[in-house]
Amino acid sequence: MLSREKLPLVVGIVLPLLLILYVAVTAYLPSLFIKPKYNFIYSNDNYYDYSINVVNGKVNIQPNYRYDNSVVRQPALYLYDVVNDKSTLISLSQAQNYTLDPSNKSLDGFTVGSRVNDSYSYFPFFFSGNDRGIYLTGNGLNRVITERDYYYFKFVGWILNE
Amino acid sequence: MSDIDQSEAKQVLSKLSILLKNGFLSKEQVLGVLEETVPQSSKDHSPRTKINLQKILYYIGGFIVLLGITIYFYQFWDSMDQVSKAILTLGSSVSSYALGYYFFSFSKSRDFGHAFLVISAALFPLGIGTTLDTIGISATRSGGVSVNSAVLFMIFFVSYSVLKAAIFLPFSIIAASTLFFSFTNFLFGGSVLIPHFYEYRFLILGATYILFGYYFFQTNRRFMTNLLYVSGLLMFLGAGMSLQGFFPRSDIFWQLFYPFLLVLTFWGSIKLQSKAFLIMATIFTFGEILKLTAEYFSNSIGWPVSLIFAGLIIMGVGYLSFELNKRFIKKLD
Repeated sequence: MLSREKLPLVVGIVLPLLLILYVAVTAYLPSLFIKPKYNFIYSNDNYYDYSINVVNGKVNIQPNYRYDNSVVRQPALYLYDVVNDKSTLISLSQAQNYTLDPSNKSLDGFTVGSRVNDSYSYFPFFFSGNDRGIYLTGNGLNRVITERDYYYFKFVGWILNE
Repeated sequence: MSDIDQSEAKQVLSKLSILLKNGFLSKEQVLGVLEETVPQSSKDHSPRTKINLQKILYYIGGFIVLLGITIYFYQFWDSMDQVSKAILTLGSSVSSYALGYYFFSFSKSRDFGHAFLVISAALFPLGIGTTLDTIGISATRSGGVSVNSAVLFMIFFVSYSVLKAAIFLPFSIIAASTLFFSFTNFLFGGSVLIPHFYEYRFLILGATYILFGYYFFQTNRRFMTNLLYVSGLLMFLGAGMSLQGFFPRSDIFWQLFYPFLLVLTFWGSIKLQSKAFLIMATIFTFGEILKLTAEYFSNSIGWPVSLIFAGLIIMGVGYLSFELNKRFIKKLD
């Protein structure tokens, strides 16, 4: 039998557990049933030396400067598979087989980018809610795409012809 | 003392010894009763003052040792391989724990042992974190921090339960709090976007601290009460204030609800007879007045006039807080 003296201790322990349970039931479990439809292409390195654009639905990579003595590596392109949650390195010619939509938001309402910091700087202990990484967000989903080289991440476009 | 009194005293003593043997009473509880009944004059000249000074010196020494170890690590950190780092950091935390345990087990050197246990508690996070890095679990990611905090919590809580060393109680609470944040980050951080999740977690953790503070107030661990009340209210009221947001992106629900939280805290100060509640409620009321002034009045009536009004209201709140303390809290202290 729970004594009156121990009640605050028990309630104090149960409160954080209830929060975890609440978030799991109201946010985490529904997110498992959210299925984005459109795969996309991104790059995560060396786009300062090259411009990556989508022209008439096709990816186009152009050097920003003319290099005479040194060979600068072209930025790598990745295809992100939304169903299998997997990134695959692809060549420029492979990428050019796809018709891309460079809009920020996909046709089914998802966006890709670094996560928005929703905390305030004056919060006790100077806590920041900013998490590193690139996320696929929208409709309640917040899936991490890559945490490596997130600083150089560049979204190219949503794949429309699959 | 008459014969009847003597026999009654013997009965009480034998009952006390049975209760102590069976674990229904702790030594601290008996000492607490003795402390309350000992006259003030004899208390003032008790050896406690000496021990406290000794304790302070031990802790200062311990802090210097810790500083030395940290500088030593820092000097050689880059030139060491990962295994050496793990052996050095975990080794020094385990050895200081072993020394602390040894000295703590003797009543004469208990305080000395305490100082070493504190050093070990401060070194363990680094030791476990470096070991996790060595075995391929990133110690700075939420998964690694969760494992680190869980192991730390087990070490601290078991030490607190077995050694009855009170110093492990705050360390256990800190480890459990870190575990709460890192584990929720690990579970939900990469999968769902919950607006103001940090603030809500601080709000809940703050409430937990306040409840723990009240629990310890009822037990023989009263030294934890004010510590938990202050840190709990800092989190609880800080999170509430943060949830209000800033004009024009302010949250109307939290702006309307927050004053009730402040009133509740003032009421709590009287109900619990707690100065920590009163001080925190006063500080956060000052903060709220300044925040509202900056948001809503500085543009319309200008900063100087706003500050005059805010200052006057703060003086009023300060006076009320002082009166509350004088009439309802101080009198009953």
